[in-house]
Parts: sequence; C-alpha cells; structure tokens
Amino acid sequence: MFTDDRHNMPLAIVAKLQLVIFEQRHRPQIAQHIIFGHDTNAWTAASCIEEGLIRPSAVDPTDPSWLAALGFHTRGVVGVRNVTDRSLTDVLLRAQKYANYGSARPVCLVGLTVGRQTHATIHQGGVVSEHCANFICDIVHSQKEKRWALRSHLSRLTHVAVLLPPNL
Amino acid sequence: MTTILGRPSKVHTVIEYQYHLGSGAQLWTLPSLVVFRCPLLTPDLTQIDWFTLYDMIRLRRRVPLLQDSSRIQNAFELRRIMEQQQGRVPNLEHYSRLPGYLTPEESKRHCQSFLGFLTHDISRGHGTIFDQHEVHIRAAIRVMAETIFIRPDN
Repeated sequence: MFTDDRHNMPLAIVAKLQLVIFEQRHRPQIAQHIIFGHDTNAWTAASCIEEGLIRPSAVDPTDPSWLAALGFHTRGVVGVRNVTDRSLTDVLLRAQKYANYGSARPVCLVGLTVGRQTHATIHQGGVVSEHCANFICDIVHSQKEKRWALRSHLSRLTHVAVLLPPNL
Repeated sequence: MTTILGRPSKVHTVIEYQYHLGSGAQLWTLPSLVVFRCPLLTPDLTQIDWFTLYDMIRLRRRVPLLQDSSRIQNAFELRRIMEQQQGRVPNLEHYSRLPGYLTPEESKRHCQSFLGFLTHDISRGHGTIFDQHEVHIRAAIRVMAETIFIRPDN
C-alpha cells in the first residue's frame, strides 16, 4: 500500500511491473522526461501490462474524418527521470482527481516517457489539436484540460496502481 | 530512428524519420508524414494552428496513416474495445478468445487466495491506517487482485 506521507493518508495499492524492453538505435538527445499516470479499465490495463505499453488513443479507423493517433492521453508530472516515492505520490495525486477504484476507470498505469524536444503546449482545439501536435512532437500538453498526450512507443510502464478516493 | 518497446513475448519496432522545420528542434514523425509540407507548419511551434493543420493533413496526405506500418495500432482497430452508448468499453468477447485471459467470473474466483494474502499482508504492515480506512482499502485491494488475475501471467 502506498501512502501520501505529507497528509498521512492511504493513496493507492501499487504493484511494480517487470522491466519493459526499451531500446533506441541512434540514441537521440533527450530534452524532457515525464512520469505519467493513465487511468483506465481493468481489461485494458491487463492488456497494457502484458505488452508493456499503452496503445494510442482509440480512433475509429472506419471514420475518414479521424487520423490515426500516435499517442494516448494521461496525467503527468514533468521533469521526472526516475520513479521515486515523491514522484509517484505526485503523479498518483493528479490521477486521483479523475478516477479511483469505484469509477469506470479504476486502474492507473504509471510509467515514464521521454521527449526529444521540449513539449508543445496546446491552448485550444481539444483532442484534435493534441493528436495533430503529437504527429511531430513527442510530448503535448493541453493547458485547458490539464492533460498530456504522449507517444505510445516512447512511454514504458513501470507500475500499476488502484487509487483510493480523495478526501477519505 | 528505430525504437524497440515491449515484452519478450511481443516487441514493437517503430521507425521514425526526422522532420525538418528549420527550428533546430529534433522532430521525428512517421515515414508517411515526413514528406508532408504545409505553410501552417512554422518553426515556431507555439504559432501553429494545430486544428487547421489536422484538416490539411487529412485532406492532403499522400499515404493514409492507417496503412503506415511504423505506427502502433490502437485498441479499436484490434477489436479490444467497442462502442457502447457513445463511449468505449472493453470487448469481453475478444478477450475471451485470447489465450491466458480469464472471464470476469473466473478472475474473481481465482484471485481469492491472492486477495486474502494481500489483505492480510497490508493490514499487518499498515495497522492504524488500514483500520481507519478499511472499507476503501479492501475495495482497492480487490480491484488490484482481480485486475492481475484477468491475465494471471501478468
């Protein structure tokens, strides 16, 4: 069990995952690191854990008005290279605002991602703009929605958590 | 650039090409998008109208992105999720056919002893906090155990 020591409250049940294979040939310069917390349902979580990654946002391939997305939406904390108790607390607290064990997305997948350029910030245009910026930028931040769009193939899973509701 | 990501049982290989915008930033994109040129794509990323650019890509791209083998497919394409009441839910019919996945009932049944172990272990390690928030903690442990046992190999 993981507790928020600053408030002495139980935060989540957390399990550490086996290391994901992550190799980059012609290793690029990394400009930014993020720890993310992606709330999802149990079946998708089981599938993501099996594969070690979160597949891109679901876009209907039969609808020509949608372009295939390269990334997924998540909550995150920028500037974190490793998962520590502090960074895990920070990201779980953010994810906790949107879901917990009693919601439709009871499982939170935690991981690390890298960006080869500093993130692009989106002020308007919602999901469509975020998808589009993700075509050329690794990390996209929606200022209005307070969420991040991260590329699936750069984001590796490290932990799985089930969050308790806030303000118990 | 090539990125390899996944588990030993299934590894994804993604190939990207550098996209030159003249800004000095290292930008990488799909092979099918690297040839796309549009005046909207300016070196100053903060000035780009992404919403309009999306339409431009949609209308003018030469190769459909869906056919680009360099990208990772999404769950909808793989039938892992389905539409339900304007939302998307897991497609349990699909998962029931996959090897190693249990049905919701099987998952609940098989996780009982693991659930008991987890509850006992956590209650011993966090006595006071566990007692204060027992109902919530037990419920969260149950969700964790059932999630793990959807695919026990996880």
